[in-house]
Amino acid sequence: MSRQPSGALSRPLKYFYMLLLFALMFSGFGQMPIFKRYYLADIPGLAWAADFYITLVIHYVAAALFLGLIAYYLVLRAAKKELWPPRNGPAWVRTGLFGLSILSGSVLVLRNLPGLNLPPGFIVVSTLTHIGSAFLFVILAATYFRLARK
Amino acid sequence: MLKDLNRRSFIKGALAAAGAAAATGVPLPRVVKGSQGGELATMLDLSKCIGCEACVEACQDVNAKYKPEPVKPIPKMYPKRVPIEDWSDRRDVTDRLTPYNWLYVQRAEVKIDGEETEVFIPRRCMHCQNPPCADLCPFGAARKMDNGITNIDPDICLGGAKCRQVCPWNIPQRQSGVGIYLDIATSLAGNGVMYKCHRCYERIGEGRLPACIEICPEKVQTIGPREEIVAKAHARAKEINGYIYGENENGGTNTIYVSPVPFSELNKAIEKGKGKPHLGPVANSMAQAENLTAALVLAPLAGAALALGKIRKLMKDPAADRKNKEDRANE
Repeated sequence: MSRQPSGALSRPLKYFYMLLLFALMFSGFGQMPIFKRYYLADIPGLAWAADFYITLVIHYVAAALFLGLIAYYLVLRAAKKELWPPRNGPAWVRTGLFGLSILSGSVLVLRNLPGLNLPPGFIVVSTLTHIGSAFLFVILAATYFRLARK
Repeated sequence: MLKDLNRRSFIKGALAAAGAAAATGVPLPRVVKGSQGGELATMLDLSKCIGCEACVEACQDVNAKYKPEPVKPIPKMYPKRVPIEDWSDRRDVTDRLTPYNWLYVQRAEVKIDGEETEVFIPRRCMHCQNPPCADLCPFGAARKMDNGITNIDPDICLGGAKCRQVCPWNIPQRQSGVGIYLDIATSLAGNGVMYKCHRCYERIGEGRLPACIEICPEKVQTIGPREEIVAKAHARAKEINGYIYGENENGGTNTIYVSPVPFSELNKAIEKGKGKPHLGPVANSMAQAENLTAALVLAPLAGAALALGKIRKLMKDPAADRKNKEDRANE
């Protein structure tokens, strides 16, 4: 992974980016029935984490802000004629995983709307892609930061 | 026991006769033809229900092939507080929803025109128009079909029971010791398969009526395109000076009850609890997600607009751009 999104973002926006990533991961994993099972919701002040509707709203809000930030970043990169290709290997991986996550997430957002029934197989593939890309991002990011620290 | 057997035999015979009638060309309602397209809804006229439970037994008989056969002993779960839910030794329970009993009849003692009356309410999945169980299933095991049925695929379901938690009526019921979780991380993730009414989707696909509708001696239920069913429900409610439940609950469902007494009274009179759904008011569970979809579309546009504004500002004031770069270099 690239250590920073690029010089296009100011330091506060970089912190905001990391905060959004955390919110997305937390609320996203919270969509699986694991927070109550594995005691996380037992931590004082975190009982709300077991409420799927609360974590769903957090996921939507964080996703909207994340998409806004991505668009902001991409336009600034485009203005500098640095939009493509990604700068290095980790940036390629990050771009790919974000792309997969955003595409599959968009399918799931459509699924949540009334009056739209997507093919069951397509939904299953989308859910697995969404979860898989998030898991992979967390694992690769953790590995990258660990290697970078050495 | 003999009585039970006789009753079961009668129901099986009646269903077989109905099937034979269909095969010999007696016209079935065209609305249940799978090729019709559009959502099908059911209307349940509670003024007709006598609580005979023929629908309950027909449901059990017709859907016997879908019922779970768990491995024994059921593997222990981790952590220990994760409950194993095993109904395999209580398959004959019919006074609540279970993985083996997808339809049951609630009883409410209420006053109609000053007279104590018993009202019977067949309860099963409401088949919501925008079902949170299907929307929020983390693996896509629950899904809504074009014909308005919400179904859970037992081959994909891990039994986490999220669907039960997000369902306003807590309808789906779990059987542990069965399903794909046994082949993945048995004790760590999942806990069986969730079961509920699938409104006899296979029979509907074949142009046949769901078993509970076909067997009912009092013709309590009517099935048809949702618009027609809603219109019928309103007409019937007007006729009996009655009340409607299910049309707008949870944003709209495909199960419309018509009752001669207010549902608030029925809700007070029925026994509620696990596997025994309420009849209270329900707001649209997916409303917030539906509303926030607009934010997901608008946010990238806003982000792009902000960036363009910044670029424009920097182009007007190159000195600020240089200072920006210097500041960033010093960070």
